[in-house]
Formats: sequence, structure tokens, C-alpha cells
Amino acid sequence: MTNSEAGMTLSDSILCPPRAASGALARSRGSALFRYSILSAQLAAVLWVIRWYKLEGRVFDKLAILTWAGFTVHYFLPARWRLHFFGLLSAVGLLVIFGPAAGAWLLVLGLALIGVCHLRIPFWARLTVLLAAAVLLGVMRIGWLPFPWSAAIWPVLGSMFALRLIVYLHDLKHRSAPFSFWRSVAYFFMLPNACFLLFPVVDYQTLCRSREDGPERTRVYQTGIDWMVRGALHLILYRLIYQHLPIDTSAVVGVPQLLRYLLWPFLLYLQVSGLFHLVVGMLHLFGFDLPETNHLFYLASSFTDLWRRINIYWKDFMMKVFYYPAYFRLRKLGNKVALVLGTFAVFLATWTLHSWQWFWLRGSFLVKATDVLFWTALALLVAANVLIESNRSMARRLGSGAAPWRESLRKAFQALAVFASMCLLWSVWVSDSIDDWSSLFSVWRRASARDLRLIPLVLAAVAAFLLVALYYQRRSARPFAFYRNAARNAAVLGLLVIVGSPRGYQPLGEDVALFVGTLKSPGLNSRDAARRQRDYYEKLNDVGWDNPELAKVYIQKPADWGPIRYRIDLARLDDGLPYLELLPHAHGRHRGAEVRFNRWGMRDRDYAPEPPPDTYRIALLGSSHTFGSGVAQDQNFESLVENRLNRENGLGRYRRLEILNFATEGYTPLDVLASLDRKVLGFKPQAVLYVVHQIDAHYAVTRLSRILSNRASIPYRELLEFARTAGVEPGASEKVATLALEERREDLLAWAYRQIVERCRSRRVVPMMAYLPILTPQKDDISSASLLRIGHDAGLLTFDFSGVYEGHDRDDLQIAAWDDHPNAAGHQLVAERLYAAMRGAETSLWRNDDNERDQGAGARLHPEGVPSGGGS
Amino acid sequence: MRAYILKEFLPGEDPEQLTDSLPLVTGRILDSLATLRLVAFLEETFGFEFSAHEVGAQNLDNLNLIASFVESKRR
Repeated sequence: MTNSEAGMTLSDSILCPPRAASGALARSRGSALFRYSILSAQLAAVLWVIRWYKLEGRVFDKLAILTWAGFTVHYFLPARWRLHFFGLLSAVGLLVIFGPAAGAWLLVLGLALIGVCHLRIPFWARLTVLLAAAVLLGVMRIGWLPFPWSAAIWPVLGSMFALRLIVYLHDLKHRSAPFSFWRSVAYFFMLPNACFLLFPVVDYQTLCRSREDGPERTRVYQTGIDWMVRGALHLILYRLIYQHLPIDTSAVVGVPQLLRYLLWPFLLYLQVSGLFHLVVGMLHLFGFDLPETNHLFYLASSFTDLWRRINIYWKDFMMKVFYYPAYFRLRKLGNKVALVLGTFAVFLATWTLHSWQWFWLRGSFLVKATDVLFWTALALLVAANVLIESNRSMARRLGSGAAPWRESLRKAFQALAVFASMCLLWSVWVSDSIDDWSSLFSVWRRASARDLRLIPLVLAAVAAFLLVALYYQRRSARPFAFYRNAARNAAVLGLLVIVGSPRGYQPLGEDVALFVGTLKSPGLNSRDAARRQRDYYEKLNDVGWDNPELAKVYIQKPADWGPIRYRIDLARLDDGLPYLELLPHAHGRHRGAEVRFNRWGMRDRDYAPEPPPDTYRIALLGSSHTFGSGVAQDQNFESLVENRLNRENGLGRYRRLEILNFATEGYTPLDVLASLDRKVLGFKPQAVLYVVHQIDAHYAVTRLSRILSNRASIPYRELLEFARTAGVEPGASEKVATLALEERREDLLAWAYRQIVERCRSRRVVPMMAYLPILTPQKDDISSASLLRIGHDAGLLTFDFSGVYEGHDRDDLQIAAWDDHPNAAGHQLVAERLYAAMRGAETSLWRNDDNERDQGAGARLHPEGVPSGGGS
Repeated sequence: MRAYILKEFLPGEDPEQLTDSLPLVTGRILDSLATLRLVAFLEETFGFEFSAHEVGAQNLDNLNLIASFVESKRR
């Protein structure tokens, strides 16, 4: 098909010259329909595998259907309609994925921005209007001005326009590409962008130039599917690494952990590579013959080579908009000066624009010391490399023959050195602070002879790296072959199905099953889950581009979704214990749900100070899960169980049951104890039920460390003694205190439980404890068995709710992607377990007619609530 | 121009492989430094100046494009 047949203008022909037909495909005997069948089957298979492995969220389902159907239509459409169709499909995609209202707002806002670019006024005036629009939208983004659309569209709008508008304006200013309505729509609203917020900065000119409507288009489609398969592989590999390798700085206690800490951050870049392969692969399916986004970046043989291989679209964006303009302005100062200053300009722009993009995605600017250090160090390394390379030969190979062995070996060793340096640099980037990172290396002083065992392992890894690098150095480029590529994709996808199929891995044993199971389980690893849990105590503004997984979660999080301690309209903070009190009669929205506190500062209905004579009263203690964060008050498991028991009667001599919810977000066992002393026992409960989690011991340590560090008053002398025996005095740094106390966290927990039991026994109150797992298990948490043992030994009547969420998809049970508190469905499951437990223990509670209630010693209940120990 | 590219960037390669349509920028033969070196050569040889926005694959990706661009600049 010629360009005129394809509906291209003369300027199109000049600016977008058709590629020469390879002839290989023209000779292909297969009909267009047969080739379509092969392409379509591969596409359906790779989309299914991505969905099956849950590599993307649920939005991907809609995108997958749109992509497959869109590809089918696109394949058979006349060439002149293909661009219009892609633009239309992208717009429809926004409406389908975000709903009619939000999708329409996205289109209106986007079209308005594009419209401003084409106003018939001078270019500088258009820029001024756009800047004013950016300021206005930015003010709305922060929340200083109201806006009529859903806040959910901000990240998408930011992902589509924050950077691509710069590229577009650059090309518009220089008229270096053809412009039309459908080209602009296709460029800004690109279909995959509705699902993938982390999106490569596609160049407008390249997108126009890359449209392939001629005989090469089967190659373009097949290449797209090849890249999608590669992207899926990268994402699966990424998940394997993400779930098993990362550790926190606090877990680095020896040389093996140090090596692990240095290795994992750089390896996680596979996620970006995988996503970008998927995105650009999808764009190929609509005829855009775009270049690769990442190319063997772990094998870069110099820092400049790395810059050219990793996130290539970003590099091209920087070169076009910053580097070349800076170089041409500065070259009168000399070639080398211009090269170096141009490089620094690029890295400054990179850092600034990452922060700019982050603002639109998250609503706050990203300023981290480790971020600045990372980009500065990389800029210096690349600038030094530029200077060295500017004096050298720039010989390249066409790929027809291998380089001499000596050169290949040199490059392989160089690749190893670059890889090691990047691992080091990337590990700085992901650390909370530079001090935190530098303190890691103190483990060398603790190195022992046992660490020598690592040497063969490290040498084997180095040898493997060199072999892979050599292979790719000496590999000859192979010409494109449609059927060979299709067969390879079928083999890879088939293998992924076998590996991921439970029938394949379950017979291999529980360990293998668990290991392979993580490949198909999205969600945060234990390190990030812990970081998210710390949201109780810290603002998580420090989550940046260095952690795309957590960033992906937090990008969607509304800015006002903070811990309750930041809500002065709902709570009052205290330096000591408990750390926070809910304000009586306060009400408002919190974590997406309405909260209303009674006159006593409980999230519950109103209760008399003393229980009525025919009423059995239970005081419920705990933290956010029990408080009911993110669910309506009547959906909380406490309300569900209280209502059910009252509805059914069967309460012995009691007519009613009251469960008073004293739980408060962020309460540690120490806060619970203080609350018991200060408030709870005054309400004269007949039983106390404390709902505990596997993270409680760590939080007790954190609370005590913070109090000691702040020299706040501690109402319990034993706690001070406890800290002193661990070598911690008031005024110690929080981190030092935490490290010292962590080793004795179980003792601290046991002490708190014993105190609770003592208070209860002295008032003839039944002390109970229910272990409720949090939705995201964390490897480093205290085990449920230890927790229950400590509770049992302290004298608590224990209930084990392990496995309460089993058989359900975690995503279905949490209140939001960024918040794993159980939603209404999760509370329903907990309520059923708690109800069964209460019924199982009623002879110790309301059916204990002689009022000689069991004090819990030695009693232990199974999940079903059947007593297993003595004393009931 | 062909001789220059062969000598500077593809020494030892078969000259026949450097076809008029061989992608130089998108084919990763010319990186940014090499591109700037080629720009300097073209400016010096043909007596015109590049603007920053003219540097890139749109004008320098293959010998055909380079020839067309040089011709348009000399007109």
C-alpha cells in the first residue's frame, strides 16, 4: 500500500517515510487471515497469562478486552482509518475504565489542554496560558481549590500530560512533526495509559514517524506481541525477586544480609522494564513501530552505555528537550565543556521532572536527600564517562560478526563493574537516609570466618554474570522470522502455564508450592508491608520512584487518608501513654468511612457508665482493626457480634449483652494497658477481650522507644527498669532504643499481658485475648503460636482466629489497595469467628451463674471456640 | 559522508552493509556523542549550522535522510 492510499499527506510522506519492505513477509504464503489467527491467538494467550499471574490489577481485564478487540478491528480496517480508530478506541477506553463521568472529565480537560497548544496566538502566549492552567490545576491537585471531578483522575491526567505536553510543545514549536486532531488524541490518550500510570515518555515525532501501514505491519504486530511476552517474563521475574529478596536496613546484621541489601534494589528495575515492554508492545498492535524502551541494561559496559540502554525513551526525551539545546548554546565554550554541562543539565532536569511528575501523581513534591545523592552521583559518573568517550574511537558493530574475544572479555568485566556500582548506588536510593545506608557497612567489623563460605557463592555469581555478558557480546543479530517468533512465544507462554499451574507444582511439596505460589500473588512483600504498617506512625511522603511497587499503591491513595493522629478534629495526642485519646462527641470521615464517637470517646453507641443489672458487659480492646478503620460502625465485627447475640438471646440469666469498643487506631499493648487503667475498668465490665495481632510486639517496642527518646513520663516504673536492663536510658536515640529493645520484644509483650491479667483478676473480670491476623502477613512478625503462648502463659483466655481470611482473595477483603484494614466483608468473617468463640466460651462468661467466673488460667480455645485446656 | 561514517563509526565493517536505509540512530550505531561528532563533520564539510531541534533520528537516521537534510540546508 502506498502512502497516498493510506491517506497520508505530502508532509506525512516527508516526515514519516515508509520503511522499505523486507520482502520476507511479502513472500509469506500465509494469507492475511491466517497470520491474523496466529497473532490473535498469541495476543489472547499473553493477555490471559498476565491476568492469570495477576501481574496487573483488575483494570487490566478491561484493557485486555479492549486491546484484543481493538487489535482485531485495527487489523482489518483500511489504513486511512487506523489512526482515527486508535484515537477513538483510546477515548472510549477512558470512559470504559474510569466510568462515564470521570472518563468524560479526563477527555474534556485533556482536549482543553491540547486546544490551548493550538490557539491562534503567539507561542509564548500559549505557553503562558498553559502555565496558568498548570498552576490552577496544581492548586486544585493540592486541594486548595474545589474541583467538580473525581480525585481519581489526577494521577491519570498527570501521567498523560505532565511530561508528554513538554515533548508536544517542543515539536509544535519547531513544526518537526505533522499535527492533526486524531494524532493528538492518539498521542495523549494512548489506550494503555488508562491502566499503566508509570508510562514511558513516548516521543510525539517518533510516534508519528513510526506508523506502519504497509507490508511490514505483520512484523510490527509480531514484535509487539514478542515484547509483551518479554514484559510478562520481566514482571514475573520481578515478582520473584520482590517477594523473596528485599530486606530492610534494620535486618542487615551480617555480611550475607549486606550483600542481599546491595543486590535487590537494582534488580527491581525489572518491573519498570516489564511494564514498558507491555505498554510499547500494545502500541505496536495498533501499527506504531516504536523502538525498544529498555535494552539489556544490566549488561551495560559503561555509565553512558547504561544511560543509553535503561529507560531509553527518557534518555531520548532528555536529549531532545535539554541536552542538545544546552549543548548548542554552550559549545562556544568548547566541546568538552558543553558536553559536561549538557550532561549536568540533563540530570538536573531528570531529578526536577521526576518530582514534577510525582506531584501530579501523588499531590506532593518529592524531595529526599538520598534522591539528590543518587542523581548527583549518577550525573558525575556519566559526565566522567562522557569525557573519556569523547577522546576515544566510537567504533560500533553491525551485528554481523562477533567482536574479538579480548574485546568481548573486556566489555564483560566492564559490565560487571557497572552492575556492581549501580547496585551500590541504587541501594543508597532506597535507603531512608544516608546515615541509615552508611551504617550498614559496620557489619564488616562483625565479619567472621563463617562468612568465608560466601566466597564460592559470590564467585559463582560473578562467573555466571560474565558468561551471560559474553554470550550477549558475541551473539549475532538474527533476522526477523514471523513463525519462529510465534513458536517461541507459544513455548514460553506454555511453560509459564505449566510452572504456574497448581497441578504442576503442588506434587513437588509444600515449600515448592509456597515458592511458586508467590509468583502468582500480587501484593507487598514483608518489607513494604511493614513500611505501610508504619503509616500509623509516620507520614509516608518518602515513598518515591525508588520504590515503584509502594508508589503504585500510594499513587491512588487520597491525600487525606492519613492516620487518625493527624486529625485534631477527632483525636488528642499525648506524649505518654496512651499516646492518643478520641475526642468525645467528635465525628467526621476517616479512611473513607464515617466515624462518630460517643460521650466517652469510644467509637460506639452510647453506654451508661455502669452496666444495667440484667446486662453482661464486655470491654473490647485493641487497635485499628478492632476500631473498625475504613468500615461503617454498624459493619464492625464488634457491632455484628453484639447485635447477633442480643438478637438470639441465650445469654443465661442476662437479658442483654454489651460490647464496649475501647479500641483506638495505633494502640500498642502499652497504650491498651494505660487505657485499661485510666478508662476501661471504670465501666465495670465483667470480661475484657483484647484483640491482638502479630505486629503488636514490634509496635510496643516502637512506642516505648519513642517515649524514652522524648523523655516523656512513663506511668509504669517497671517499664523504665525494663528499658534499663536492655541498656536504654531516657533520652536515647529512638533508633538505638528500638534496636536494643527489639531483642526483648517478647518479654515486653509478656509483661504487658501479665499487667492486664492482674488488673482483671483483682476485679474479678474475665481476661480474654483473640489473635486476629492482619491481612498482609509479614515474615518478621512474631508468630501466632508465640503470641498465643505468651497470652496463655500470662493467664489470658485465648482465641485463635488464624486462617479467618483463608479462601478469599486478599484484594476482596481490604478497604483499599493502599490500606489492608479489613473491609465490611472482612469484618463479617471475623464476626463469625468471634461469635463462635463467644458461644464456645459462654460457660466461662454469662453462663457462669455462680459468678465465680473463670479467670482464664490455663484455658485455651480452638478456632471453633471449643476449650482445649483445663480451667474452663 | 559514507566514507566518514565507515571510518569513524564502523571501522572494519563491510562497506556494503552500510546501505542508504540502514538505521543509524534508531539502530544504535550513532549514540548522542557520535551524533554530535557527525553533526560537527556535516557542519564543517557542508558549511551550515544545525539547530538543536534538527539533531535526531528525523534527519540523521540513515544516509538518505542525511543527504536530504543536507540538501535542504544548502538550498
